[in-house]
Formats: sequence, C-alpha cells, structure tokens
Amino acid sequence: MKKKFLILFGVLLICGAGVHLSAKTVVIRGAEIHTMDGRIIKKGAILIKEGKIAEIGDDVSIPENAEIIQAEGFILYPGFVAASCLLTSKEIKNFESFSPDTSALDRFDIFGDYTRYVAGGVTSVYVGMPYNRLISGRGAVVKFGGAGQESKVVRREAALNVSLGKDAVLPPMTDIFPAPISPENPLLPSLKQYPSSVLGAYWIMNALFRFDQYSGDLARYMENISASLRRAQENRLPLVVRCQKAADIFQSVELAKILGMPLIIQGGAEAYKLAGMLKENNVSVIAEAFVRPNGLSPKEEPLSEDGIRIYEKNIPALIKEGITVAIAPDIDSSVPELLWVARYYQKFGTSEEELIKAITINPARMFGVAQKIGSLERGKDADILFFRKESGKLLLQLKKVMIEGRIIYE
Amino acid sequence: MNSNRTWFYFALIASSLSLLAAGFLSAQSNKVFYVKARTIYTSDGNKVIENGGFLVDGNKIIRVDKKAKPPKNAQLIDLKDRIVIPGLIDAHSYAGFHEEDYNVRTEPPPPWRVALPAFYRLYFPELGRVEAPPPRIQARYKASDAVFYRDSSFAKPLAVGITTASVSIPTEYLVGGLSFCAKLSANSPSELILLNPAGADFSLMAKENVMKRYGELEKVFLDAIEYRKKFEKYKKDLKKYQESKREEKDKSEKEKKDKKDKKGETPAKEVSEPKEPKKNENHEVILQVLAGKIPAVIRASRIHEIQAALKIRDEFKINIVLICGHEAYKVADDLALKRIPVIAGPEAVLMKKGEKVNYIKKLLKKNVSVAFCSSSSAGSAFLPFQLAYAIQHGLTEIEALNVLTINAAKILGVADRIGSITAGRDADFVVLNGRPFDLSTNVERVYINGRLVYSNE
Repeated sequence: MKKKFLILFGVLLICGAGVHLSAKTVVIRGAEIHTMDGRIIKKGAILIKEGKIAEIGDDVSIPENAEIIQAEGFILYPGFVAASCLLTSKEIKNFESFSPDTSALDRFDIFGDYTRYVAGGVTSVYVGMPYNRLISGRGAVVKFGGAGQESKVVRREAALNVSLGKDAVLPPMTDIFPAPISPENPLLPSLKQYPSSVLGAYWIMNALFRFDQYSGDLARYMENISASLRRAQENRLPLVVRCQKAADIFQSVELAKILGMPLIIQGGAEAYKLAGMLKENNVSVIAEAFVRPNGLSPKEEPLSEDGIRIYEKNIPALIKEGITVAIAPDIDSSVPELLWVARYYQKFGTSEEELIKAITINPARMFGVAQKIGSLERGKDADILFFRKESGKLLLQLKKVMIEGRIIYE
Repeated sequence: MNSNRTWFYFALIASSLSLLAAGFLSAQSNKVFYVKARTIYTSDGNKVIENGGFLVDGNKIIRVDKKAKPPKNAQLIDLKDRIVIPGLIDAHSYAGFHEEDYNVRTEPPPPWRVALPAFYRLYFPELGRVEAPPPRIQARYKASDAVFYRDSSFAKPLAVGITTASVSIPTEYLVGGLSFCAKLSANSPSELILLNPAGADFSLMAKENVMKRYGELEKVFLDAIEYRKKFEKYKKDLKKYQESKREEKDKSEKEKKDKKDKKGETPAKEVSEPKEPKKNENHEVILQVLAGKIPAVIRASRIHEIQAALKIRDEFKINIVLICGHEAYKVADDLALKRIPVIAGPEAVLMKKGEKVNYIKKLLKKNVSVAFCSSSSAGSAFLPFQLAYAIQHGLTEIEALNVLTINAAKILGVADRIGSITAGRDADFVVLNGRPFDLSTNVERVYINGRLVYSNE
C-alpha cells in the first residue's frame, strides 16, 4: 500500500512539474502590437496559455495566478522567420549530384547554441541543403531554443531543395565530366553524373521523376532515390528551386507544373521579368538580398545589367506585383541581421509593413507552417519580439525575445 | 616698315584669337552658382549649418555662409528642404578590378598549376590543392596601370554619394603594389586621379605564423637599405675612380714631359672601374617608403599583426596606416600617441564571443583617426548602410559622417582638395532627401568638381 502511494505520489509530482512548465499563463499588457496579419493594436494585450496565444486584442481576460508582463513602451512583433539558412552546409561534400533522400535535419545540431540568431530576432529558420547539387535534399523548419535548451522541429519535411541553372552544372569543387550513359554505365555512380550543361540538368531532373521507366540495375540503384522523390511528389512537398536567370525561372515553373508540386524560387535575381507569370501560377519567391550590413562586402554582384542594380529592382517589383516574397540574405552570417537586410529596401519605395511581412508571415506560408508561426494570432505559438524605440538609433532596439511564452533572451 | 606692320597684325589676330578661346573655355568651366539648402553638414569642425549656403566658382567652393546670401551674378540652386553633405570617400577599394577574379594575377600562373590535368586532381585531391608560393613582393606594380576606368564599379557608388576612392590592387601578397586616390567620375583618367601613388600596400595578414610574415617584411626593408648602401658605395667608388683617372691624365701629361728626363719608373697603382649594381624597381619603391614620401598602408587585423606593424614602424621610422584594424582598439592609446590612423572595415561592428564590439567608436573615443573602407570592388555602394549599422550600435551621426569624409581625406593626404564643404576645397557634394544614414534616405544629386554627375530623376 505504502509503495503504491509512493509511486502515485511520484507520478503526480512528475506530472505536476510537467504541467507547471508548459501550462504557465502569461499576460502581456500595454504594448503596441504589430500582428502582421494586417492589424496594429495600440495598447493591446496578449494572453498566452501553454506557449500558445489564447487571446489577443485591446483587452483580454486575466485569469488567476497569471504572470503579468507590463510592456508599456514596447513594440511587439512576431518572431522572424529566416527563409534560407545553411546551418548544415559544412557537413556535406559535393561529390553527388542528387541526394533527395538526405534530410537537412540529419545534420542539424539541435543542441547547438543559436543565441546569435535569437539576438537578432530570428526565432525560426528553414534549414536548407547546400545549393551545389541538382537535387540536394529535404529541408526542415526549426525553431531555436534558448541558451542551453534544445531547438524544436516545427516541420520535419518542409521542402525539397533543387538547383537549376548555373549552380547545378559542374559545381566549383569538381571538374569531373559526366560519363556517357549506356547499359554498361547507367546513372551510376552519381559522382560522375554531373550535368555538363544547363540542358543536361533539365534532362536529368525530368528523367529522375520517370520512376516507371527504370529497370534492372538502374532500378535497384535508384530504389532509395525514387522512393523519396515519389514520396515528395505524393505529399506535394514544395520544390525550392535555386536559380537566378529568367530563363531558368521559366523552366522551373514548367517543371513544377508537370510534377504537380508547389514551387518556391530561391535567389531569383531576374524574377521581376516574369512577375506576371509567377503570380498566375502561385509561385512564391525567396528573394536573395545582396546586402551585408555587417561582414565582408560582396566582391561583385553576380548579375548586373549596364550598371543597374538588379537586386534593388527585383524585390520592390515583386512585392508590388503581390507575389509572396520572403527576403533572405545571400550568406549565413547575415541571417542574424535579417531586419537590417529587409529594411535596406525601404528606400526603394517599399513600405515597412510589407518588408517585415517578407521576414515573418510570408516565409511561414511558403513552408506550410503559417498555422503555427509567422504572425501574432489566436492559436499560434507565442514567439514574440519586444522592441523599444531609442533616441539616436535608426531602427528599433530589440530588448527581449520570447519563444513559446518563455523569455529566452534579454 | 611693311614687314613690321604684318607682324603687328599677325600678333593682334593671334592674341585676340587666344583671348576668345580663353574666354570660351573659362565660360564653360567657370560656372558660378550658389547652393542653398535647409541643412548643410560641412564636416569641417563638426559644423552643421541650418538655412545656409555656399558659393561655387568653377570646380571650387569659394565661400560658405552661415546665412544664405546669394550674390546677384551667380545662378541660384535652391534645394529647399534638402540636406547637403560632402562627397563620401572609400578609403580602400578595388574599384576597376571588377571583371577579374578576386585575386588578380599580375604574374602568369606557374606552369605546373596550368598543366595539372583535372582527373589527376580527382584521384589525388590533396595534390590538386598544391599551389606554388605566389610572388609575394610586387612593390613596383601600380594600380593605376591596370585599373579599368570605365568599369561599372566606378559609376555605381555615386548612387549612394561616394565620390572618391583610394584604389588598390586586390592581392593578399606581402607587398601588394602602389595604390592611387581618384574621383569616381570624370572624363579622362588624368582628371580622375587626385594622388598617385597614394600609398604602398603591405599585408601582414596570413594564415601562417605572424612572426614569419613580420620577418619577411623586415627583410624587404633591410634588403632595400642594403641596396641603397650598395648604390652609395658605387657612387663613392665611381667618384674615386673618376678622380684617379683625372690624376692619371695629369700624370701622363706630366710624364710625357718628364719622359725626356727619366726612364723606367714604376706606374702608379691603378683603380679599376666600379661595376654599376643592377637597378631594382621594387627596392626603389621601398626606399621611397623609407624616405617618408609614400605612406605604408599595412593590412593587419588581429592584435599580433597590428603589433608587428607597429614594430616595423618603430624600426624603420616610416609613416604607416593600418587597414582592417579590427583589434586596434586594444592598443588605441599607443596609436593615438604615435598618430597612426586606422582605415577600418569592411566590418562595421565586430562579433566577439557573441558580443557586438563597436571598434570604430572605441578608436574614436581614444582620439585615433579612423576612416572606413570596403576593400572590394562592388562593396563601396554599401558603405553608408554599413555605417548606419554602426550608428545603431553606438556611433553618432556626425562621427559616422566624419569617418567617411574629412577623416578619410586627412588619412589619404588629400584634405586640401576634398573631404569637407569649406572655402577653397573642390566642389564635391551630395544632395539627400533626408538625414544622412537614415534607411529611407535617397541620394538625389551628386556634384563632382562643380559638375552634376548623378541625378536620380
């Protein structure tokens, strides 16, 4: 009897602790709230229950034993979502041209210290795969934890990373020419299967999805690859195609139509030329911003026409057209400065609201996680940034970061 | 009489023609105009003038008024609520080397690097990465000889208000060559250049041991001194030889006279003609640095590299300028005492163990002269944005503006021409539609030498 009681007591204790950790109720009052779903609440309040937003508005009902955060003078934004971040890139060598069965999550360090990113207001990222493969693998959306806390996976399989155009053709580290394909030498080994031209890249890309045409040795070799590709196609996983030139963007739209998968263009320096077509086909764009607020200046712009800065023209033009645009820096070291990268485009006539949407709700929508993150709405995770205006500073100063109802950075 | 008259007419016509031509030319270049604006940041002793103006005659600023009083004969440019700042300066850039790879090879690559077949590198990847040690001393190369003046990297920075840049050869070599200081827009290269050479580039930044690089740099200077000694010795010997020759000549004349009297005397000891040492242009450039004619622009980032640079300066008594200088704030007192300027960049704020360190602010606090650079060909266009980032982390607006204008001009040695809106300086200025460094501010017009070179309309 005594034993049973002890066990029961233990179980209750554990449950109680668990409940206490997650069921903390927090109320934030008196802050200016930018919800990013089109509303700005002056002097609003947020009720947070179990890490989720239970109520948001001018005033909320305050339950008993709720922790109250008085936030007068603070301006609240949802946590930023970085649409491209290669946290795993160092781990992957470039000796294969397609590896759709690899997942970025396999090499993502869940216990890593990402304070640097959180300090810049980035609470969630799409962890992608490196660009230098034709099909480089599946990326995931993760949410950073606080110091000493593990990161959380928001969506395990968020998209399939593909490179078309120049990136996929003989990447910088390899000078290997593809062996001609024959019965003796099928698509094997993949080391030798680098397309030598852009046309070759499309051909291989198309051939990879014709699962029923494989037979014999080829089918055996392609078993894993085709299984993961088939799964991606059946699940309608978004295809993140990295390409810059208008011709490549056009081709990838056609490819996505054939495969029946949603399309996200990454990079897309010349996307503004096809803005109408992208809008028609519901294509979203992760526009690469060629801006580095801190860190090495770019050596040269990858694409420019007669001195016109394409990157400065592209993003405002796409936003004007009404395309879902996410702004992402071109290198990882700029990811903590996401707000600066986005605000750079302010002087080209784009509103601040639109630019902040491009680093919050838009990327969340692209990767299918908008029901959890990206804006401050009822039922979503309580990832909140506390900004404050300071004199002499150009931008708002980030003071606190809350992830799922807990302040993890101050 | 007749011929005299023709000469007179000829002279008259010639003089009138030349006068006409001079008048025509001066009418073209000596455009007088008066600029009036709401706010003028002069960068001259941190002065900010409200509702003032300045008079431009030709390519120079004639006078600056605290209260606008445009003269009658001048054309008035009323900028209303606009803001005027001096033309900005990129203190170290690779503009004009845009088309090439990052490492511009001024020497051809070694043959084994070219001949190594690709498949060889596939099976022995380690072998493929073997590179011959690059020629590390190229002091004699001039950036002005290789730069492409019509490159887009000369025109693009104008759109953010950068009017002047110090252009270097993009290398990481120990001795990188001679840089020059140029305005970014003009008709001909000769008009473009403000100062050539502006500095000799050195790099102490290396993956290997810092002391090794220091030793190599020390050797460069010691070799040059040795070279100078050799020449001095040669000159001395030559003088001696010429003297002895002259003596010999006198003697032989004497001897001819004496020959009649005496016979069979031993001849005087002969001085052999000294050999002229081989000229070495690298050493010549280093000697100019040693003489203080050209400042040594030393790239050093970490504290060890900076200390090595200071050691070189003390050893050879040369003028140095530090580039990069990320950890220079650790020896800021020393730098201020020795009046060593720092050209910071390309990072505006450092990340040190998760903390942001505003090293520019720290240097300025200790009265070290700081400029800012992009160290790249396309990066100049981001300088104001990067300094805006530094402002967010503690720099003030005026400090940031000084870093990009007057400080840079002083460090480059062209403060008598550019860097501030002051009487007597070149009329290089930028018209903004908002406060400088504000993220929504756009550059509306850029003037260089009193000429409109960029307009966003």
